[in-house]
Amino acid sequence: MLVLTRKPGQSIIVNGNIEIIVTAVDGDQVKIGINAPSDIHILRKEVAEAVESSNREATVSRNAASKLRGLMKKD
Amino acid sequence: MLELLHEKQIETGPSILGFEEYHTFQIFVEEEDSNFAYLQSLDDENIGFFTVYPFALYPEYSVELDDAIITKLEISNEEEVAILCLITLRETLELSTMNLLAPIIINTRTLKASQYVLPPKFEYSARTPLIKAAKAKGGTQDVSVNT
Repeated sequence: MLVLTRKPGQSIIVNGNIEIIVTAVDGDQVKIGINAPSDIHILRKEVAEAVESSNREATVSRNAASKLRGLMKKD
Repeated sequence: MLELLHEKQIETGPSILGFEEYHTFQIFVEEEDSNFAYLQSLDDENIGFFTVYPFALYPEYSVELDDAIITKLEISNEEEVAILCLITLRETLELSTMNLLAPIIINTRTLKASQYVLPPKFEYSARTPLIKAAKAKGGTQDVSVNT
């Protein structure tokens, strides 16, 4: 992994069109600004992981989906 | 609510996290309750998701679409947007959840679709209990499109 040292206000250019700026440092928190084209999808990693694991749990065959109908009727 | 989407094919591109290789889904709206639909992958018959029109279970749910998704799905007005949330079925209804954090946004006109992770100000969970939501019935779609 490439590791660069930056000060607040300094930035990094990725691929010529994405700018990642260290906007503020406060204790153990770092504020990062990102300028990127709108088709570049940016997510906090833990959010992406939560959605991905939720998606993996959700996938179900069409037959199994009928289980919910059964459950709902019981309710 | 979802009747008009029955048997329609939507193109999600690689937007469904963890399922980036599955791009085309066919929608089968449940006969008994049109707030529920099954999304069948046309790339792999073993892959699919059970979904719900979230506003039916969660009337106060709200979604705000950013410019990137509006452009990507070629959305021209709120009326052509349909929203579905993935359901995770577990052993009982009480343990089953729905993903309010990352709904599937569908342009009903172009049939372009995308899973859309809501920005941080929306504090919804990817594992919202279905049963709490199931107590309330009804509700209308609250989606704002800034064009």
